[in-house]
Amino acid sequence: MSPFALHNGTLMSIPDQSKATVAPATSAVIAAAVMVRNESQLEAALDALARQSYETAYTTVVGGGEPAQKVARRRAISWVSDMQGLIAGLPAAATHVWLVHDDASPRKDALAALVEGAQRVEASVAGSKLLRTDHPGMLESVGAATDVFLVPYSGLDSEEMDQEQYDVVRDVAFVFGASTLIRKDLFKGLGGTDPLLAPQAAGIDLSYRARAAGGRVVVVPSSEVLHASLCSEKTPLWREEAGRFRALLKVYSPVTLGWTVPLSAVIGLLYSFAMTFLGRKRALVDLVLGWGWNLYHLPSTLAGRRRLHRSRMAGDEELFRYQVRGSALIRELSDRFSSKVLLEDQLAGRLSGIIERRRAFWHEPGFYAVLTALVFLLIAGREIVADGLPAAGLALPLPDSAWATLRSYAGGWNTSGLGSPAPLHPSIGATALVQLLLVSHANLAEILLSVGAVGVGLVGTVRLLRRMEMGPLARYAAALALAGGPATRALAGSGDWPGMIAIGLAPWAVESVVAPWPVVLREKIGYLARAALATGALAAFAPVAVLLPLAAVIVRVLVAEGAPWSAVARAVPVTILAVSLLFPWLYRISVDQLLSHGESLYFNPSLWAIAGFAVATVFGLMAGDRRTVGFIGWGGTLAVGGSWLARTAGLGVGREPTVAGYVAAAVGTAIVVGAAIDLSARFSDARLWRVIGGRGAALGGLIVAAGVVLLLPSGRLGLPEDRFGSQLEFAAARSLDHGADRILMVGAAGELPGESRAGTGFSYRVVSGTGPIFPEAWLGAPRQGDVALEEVLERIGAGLELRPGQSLASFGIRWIVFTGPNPLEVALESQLDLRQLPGLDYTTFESEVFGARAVGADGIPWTWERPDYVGAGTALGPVYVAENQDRRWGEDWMASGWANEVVPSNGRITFGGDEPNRNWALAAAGVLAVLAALGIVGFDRKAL
Amino acid sequence: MRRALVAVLIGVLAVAVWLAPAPEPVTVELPVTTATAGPVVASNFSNCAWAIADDTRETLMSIVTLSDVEVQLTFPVAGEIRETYPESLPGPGASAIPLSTILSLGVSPAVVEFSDSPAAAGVIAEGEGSLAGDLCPSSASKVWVLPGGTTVQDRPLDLQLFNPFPEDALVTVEAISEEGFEPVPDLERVSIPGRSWRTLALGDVLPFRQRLSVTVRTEQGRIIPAMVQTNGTDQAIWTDVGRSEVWEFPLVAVGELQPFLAIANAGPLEVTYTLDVFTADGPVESAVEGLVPAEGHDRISVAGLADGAYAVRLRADGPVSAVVVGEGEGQVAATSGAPLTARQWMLPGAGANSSAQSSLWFLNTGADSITVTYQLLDAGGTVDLPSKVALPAGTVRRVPLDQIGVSGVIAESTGLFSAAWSAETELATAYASGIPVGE
Repeated sequence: MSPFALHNGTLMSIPDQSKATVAPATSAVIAAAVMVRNESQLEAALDALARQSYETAYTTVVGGGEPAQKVARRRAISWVSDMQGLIAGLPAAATHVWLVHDDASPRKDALAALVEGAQRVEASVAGSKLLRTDHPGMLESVGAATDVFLVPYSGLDSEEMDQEQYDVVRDVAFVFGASTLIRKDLFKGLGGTDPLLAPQAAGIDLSYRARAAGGRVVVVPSSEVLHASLCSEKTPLWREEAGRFRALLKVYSPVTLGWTVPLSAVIGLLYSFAMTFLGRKRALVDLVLGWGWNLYHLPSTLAGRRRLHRSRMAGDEELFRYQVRGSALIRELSDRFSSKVLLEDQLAGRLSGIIERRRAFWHEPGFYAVLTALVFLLIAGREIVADGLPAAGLALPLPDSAWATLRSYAGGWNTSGLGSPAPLHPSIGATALVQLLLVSHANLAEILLSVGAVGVGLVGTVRLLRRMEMGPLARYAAALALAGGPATRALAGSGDWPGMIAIGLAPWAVESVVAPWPVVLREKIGYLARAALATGALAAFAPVAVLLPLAAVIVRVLVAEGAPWSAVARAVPVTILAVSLLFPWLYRISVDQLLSHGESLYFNPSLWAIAGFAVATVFGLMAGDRRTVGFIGWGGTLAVGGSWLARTAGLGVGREPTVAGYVAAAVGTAIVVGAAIDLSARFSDARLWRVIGGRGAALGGLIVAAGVVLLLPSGRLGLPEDRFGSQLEFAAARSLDHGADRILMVGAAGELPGESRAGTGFSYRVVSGTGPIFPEAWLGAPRQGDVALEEVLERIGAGLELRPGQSLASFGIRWIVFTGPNPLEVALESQLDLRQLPGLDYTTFESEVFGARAVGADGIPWTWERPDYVGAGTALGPVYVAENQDRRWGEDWMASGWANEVVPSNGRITFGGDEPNRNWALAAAGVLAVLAALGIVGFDRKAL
Repeated sequence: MRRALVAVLIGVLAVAVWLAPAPEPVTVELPVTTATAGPVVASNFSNCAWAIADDTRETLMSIVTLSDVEVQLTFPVAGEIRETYPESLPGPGASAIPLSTILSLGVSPAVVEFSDSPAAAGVIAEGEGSLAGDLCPSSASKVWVLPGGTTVQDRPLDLQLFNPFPEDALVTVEAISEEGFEPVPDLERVSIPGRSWRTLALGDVLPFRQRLSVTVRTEQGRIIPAMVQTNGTDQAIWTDVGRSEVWEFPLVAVGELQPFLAIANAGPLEVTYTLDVFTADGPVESAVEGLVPAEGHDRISVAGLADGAYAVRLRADGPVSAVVVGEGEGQVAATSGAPLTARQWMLPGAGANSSAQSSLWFLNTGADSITVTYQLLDAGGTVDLPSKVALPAGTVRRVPLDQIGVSGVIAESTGLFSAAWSAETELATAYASGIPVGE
C-alpha cells in the first residue's frame, strides 16, 4: 500500500494495485439484507435492489416489525426479526452479505462495483460511496478515519460536492453501514452488526471488529448509493457517542484501554462542557446519558469483547494505522471556536478559506505545543482533576453556592471565623464569579481555576514573549519557567492558591501594557479596558501586584533600549482602573494592614534554581546583543526585585506584598529564561565566544525551566497535599439534624487552613463544620467574640477550664482538631466534657455538650445556610446567633454577650448588610462590566 | 555601558536579596510543668479521688469559697455520670455535704466544680473508730509520688486511681519498699476506664512491706490517685501535692500518735535533707539530717522532737515528696506537707465533724512575727467574727476549734505562713493540709 493524503492532510492508504494485473472473477454469491430502520423507504430500497445489474442470490428484510413483514411477504422475500435470525438464515451458497439500509437507494451498478472492488483488493468489508438523496451530487461519506477514540473524522467539508476526487479504492478505518459488503464467514464469526448501536456507531463497530479479526476494510467509491439519512433521524446524538465508546471497549486490548478510556472520559467532558456554550446545550446531559447507557450495557459489551477475542487476528497497531492523530473532538472544538472568533470564515461558500485555515492550524507548531501543554496539565493536575482542590493553606475548596459568596462579598456577612461584616478578599469575589459562570459547580471551578491558571500562564508567557519577538523555543521554555520556576513552586507549595493563580495571570497583565498602542480611538479605549481587566484580574488574586504592570514597564524603559515611555503613561490609567476593581476590600483595609497583615512566606529557592538563573543572567548579559541585554535586564530586575520582596517576611512585611514579590519574580524569571534561550537560538552561527555564552545562558535557562518536572509527581500542580479535606469529613458525618457545628482548629500557624489567630504557644482558628472553604480563608479583625474565644482558650490552656466543651458550646464549637502537638492539647488531657474521636488523621475532640451556631428560645437549633440561618417559621422568641454581635442581624436585635439575639421572621435570619461595602461592590461590578464592554467593542482582531 | 549598569543593578538587588533576613522560626514549646503534680492551690475545680458512704461510714464533701459560687459535684461511675449535685454558696462560705445524701454506693470519688475561683474542696470521712480527711487536688499530673504507706500485718494499703475524664487512662505503678524497687507485673499498664476508678490493694501484691512508696506514671490520659491506709478501724488518706525542696508540716503530732515523715526522691541524684523543728517558743534548726537515695525513699520518726505542739520544716538540696504519717494503737492519720507558704489558706472540712475535736495548726517559719486571722465558715457564710492568733517568728500555734457546725475555715495574714488542721476522736485521728490561695 502507498500513502494517500486527503486534501485535509489526513493520511489513509490505497491498496497497491500495481500487482493486480488481472481482475479477479466476480464469482461472489450475494445475500442481501435490507436493514429496516425507517419503514417508509423500504419499498424503494427493495426496488433499487431488484434493479441491480449484479443480481443478489437471496434477499432478506431484517427487522421493522409488521409493516416490513407485510412488504416482504408481498414481494415473496424472506423476513427476519433481528440479526441473529439473519445469520441463522443465511444460505450456505452465499459468499458475501450485502447490508443495505432501507433508506438507501443503490445505483444500478452499485453492487457490481462493490463486489468487483472488494474482490480485487481481497477486502473483507467494503463500503459504498454515499451520496445525499436530496442532493445526489453531494458527498455524505466515502469511508472515513477515526481518531484513537473511534470518533469519526471524514475529512469532508460541509456540503462537499462529489467530483470523483476520492474515487479510488482504499483502506479506511470504517465504512458507514448504509451499504456494506462483508464476507459471509466473517459476518457470521463476528455475530453481525451490534443491534444496540446507532447507525454510524454500528458501522464503526463492525469495521473495527472486522479489522481486528484480520479482515481488510475498504471503501469502493465506484459503488454509489443514495442515502436519505432517515436512519439517523430518530437516533439521538448521545446514542452515537455512547455506541462509539462501546465499540472502543470491545476492540482494544487492555493496555490500550488503560489510557484511551480515561483520556476519552476527560476529552468527552471537556468537549461536552465547551459544546454547552457552542450551540449544543444538552452536551453535558448527553455525556451523562452516554456513560449511564454504557454502564447499563457493560455486561453485553464484555460479552462482545470476549467473542471478538476468540477470532482476533490483528493487534491494536493495525487499528491505529487508519486513525488520525489527536482527538477529533478537540479538532471539532477548535474549528467551532475558530469559527466563532474568526468571523470571516463563517461566510458560507468560502470553502477554500475553511480548508486553508484548517490546514494552517494543523501545521502550526503551536498546535503541538498546545497539545503538549494539555497533556502536561492533565498529568501535572491529575489529582486536582480527579479529586478537586487539595485543602491546605489558602487552597481551600469552593463552597457549594457561589451566589451566597457573592452576597457576602457585596456587603453581606463575612462568615469567616466567628463572622464579621468585614469585606472579603478580592480573590473570593473573583473565584465566586467564575463559579457562578459555571452554574455554581464548585469542583469544576476549582479545576478550571487551578489547571486553567497554569494553562493561562503558559499561554500568557508565550504571548508576552512573542510580543518581544522571541522564537518559539524561547517562548515555550519561558512558559515552563513560569509554571515550574522556583517562585511559582514555592508559592504553590505553601498552598497559596490565589498567588498561584495570580502568577498565571501576570504575563497577560504585563503583555497588555507592552502591546503596541493602537491608532484608532475605539481601539485605544479597548486597549486600556482590556489591560485594566487583565491587571484587575491579577490584582484580585494578588492585590499589591496591581502595580506589577506599571513597575514592569518602568523597569523596561530604564533598562531596555528603545522601550517607549508612552507605555508608562498607558500603564498609569490601567493601574488606576484596575485598583477600582479591588473594592470594597480596599475601602476597609489600611495601608498598615495591606503591608503587614498575614503570614508571609520567606522565599528560599533551591541552589539549582539560583545557579540556573545566575548562569542565564550572567551569560546572557555577557554574550547577548543589546536586545538580549534589554530583556535580561528587564526580566532580571523584575525577578531579583521580586525575590527581594518575597524575602521580606523577616522584616515584618505581610502576605500581600510578598505574594506580589513572588509574582514579579516568576514573570521576571520567565523573561530571563526566554531571553537566554532565544539568544542561543539566534547566535548559533556567531562568534565562538558568543555561541558559548549563548549556550551557557540557554543551559541556565533550561535548568530553571526544568523545574517544571517537579510539578508532575504529585499531580497537584505543586500545591501541597490535602490536609483539611477528607480529614475533616468526620464533622459532617457526625453532625446532627441542624447541620455541622463549628470546628476549632489548633496547631502551628502554617498548619492551619487559611489565616489563624495566635494564642499562648499555639495558633487557632474556627472553621465551619462542613470543612474550611475558600471564602473563609481570611480572618477579619478580632471582634468581641474573637476576644471572648481567646480568653476561653487561654483559660483552657492554663488548665482552668474543666469543662472546655461547655465553654466552647456558646461559640457553636463542637469539635477541636489539633493539627500538631501544642500546649492546648496537653491541657485537654484533664477535662470532663470532650471525648477524643479515635481513628482520625488529627487528634480530635468532640464536645459532649450541645451547642449549635444558632438556637431558638425553645432550644431547637437553627440550621446554618451560609450566610443565613434557617429555622421553623413558627419559632417563637429570640434566637441566639453565635456570630460576632452586629445590630444589623435583625430589627429586633439584642446583644447576647459577644453574640446576638434576634427575633426571626419567616424562619430565616439574615444579616441586613453593610451599605458602604455593598455600594463599593456594586460600583466595582459596574466598572468591571463597563471595562468588559469597552474591551470587546474596542477589540482589534489584528492585534491577535 | 548599559550592559554594565544592568549588571550592577541586578547585582545590587541580588545582594539585597541575599541579605534579607529570614523570619524567626516559630517553635512550639509543650508545657513540662504538668508532668508532675504541682502544689495544690485554690482553683475552680477539685478532684476528690476517695470518698465513701455506706452503712458504717460517711464522708463530708467539704467546700470553701471566697466568693459567691455555684458548686457542682459530679460522680462518675463505670463510664458515665451517675449523679450530679448542685449547691450554691455565698462567699466567703463553706459547706460540708454528707455524701450519703447524694449517693450511698460505697466508694464514690467526685469532681467538684466551682463557677468562680478561688475555692477548694476536701473530704473528711468518719465511721465508728475511723476518721480520715484530706484536701482534693485541682491538678492532674502525669507522675504522682505517694510515699508513707505500709503493708505490714493488719495494715491494708489501697491505692485509689480515679479517672474522672472521658478518656481511658493507662498507668504503671512503681513501688519502692525497704527492699528497694519492687517489680510487680500486676501494677504495670493498669487500665482505668474513663469516668471510673480502680482500687489497687497493694497489700495483696506487696505484702509485709514496712515502708512502701509508690510512683504512678501515666502513659495515657490522666488520673488522680489517693493512698488509703488502714490501721485497725481507723483510716488515713493522702495524695501527692508536688515536689519541693522545702516542706512545711504545721501539723505533726496529735494525741498519742507517733509521727514520722516519709520522704521520696524520684530524681536521679541522692538528696540530703535537714529538719528544722518549730515550737511555740521558737525554732530549733537542723535538728535532724538525713539522706534520700536516688529514686529511693526515707522514713524518719519526728515523734517527741519537742514538748507540746511542734511543727517541722524539711529542707532538701533537691526536690522531694514528703508526707507526715501519725500512727498509734489502731489509729492512723496522714497528710502531705505544704510545699509553699502563702498569705491566705483555705481549710475545707475543718471543724465539720461535730463528734471530733478539731484543731487548726499555723506555722510561721519567717523571721518576722505575724498575726493570723481565721474565719469560721458555714453554708450561710461567716460564723461569728474572725479570730486572731499571733505567731512570733519561727513558732507554731495549735488553735482548738470549739465551735460546732463549722464547715471550713479561711486563714490569712500579712505575712507568709502555712496551715493545716486535725480532727481527733477517742479512737481515730485525721490530718488534713490546708490549701493555699494564689496571689
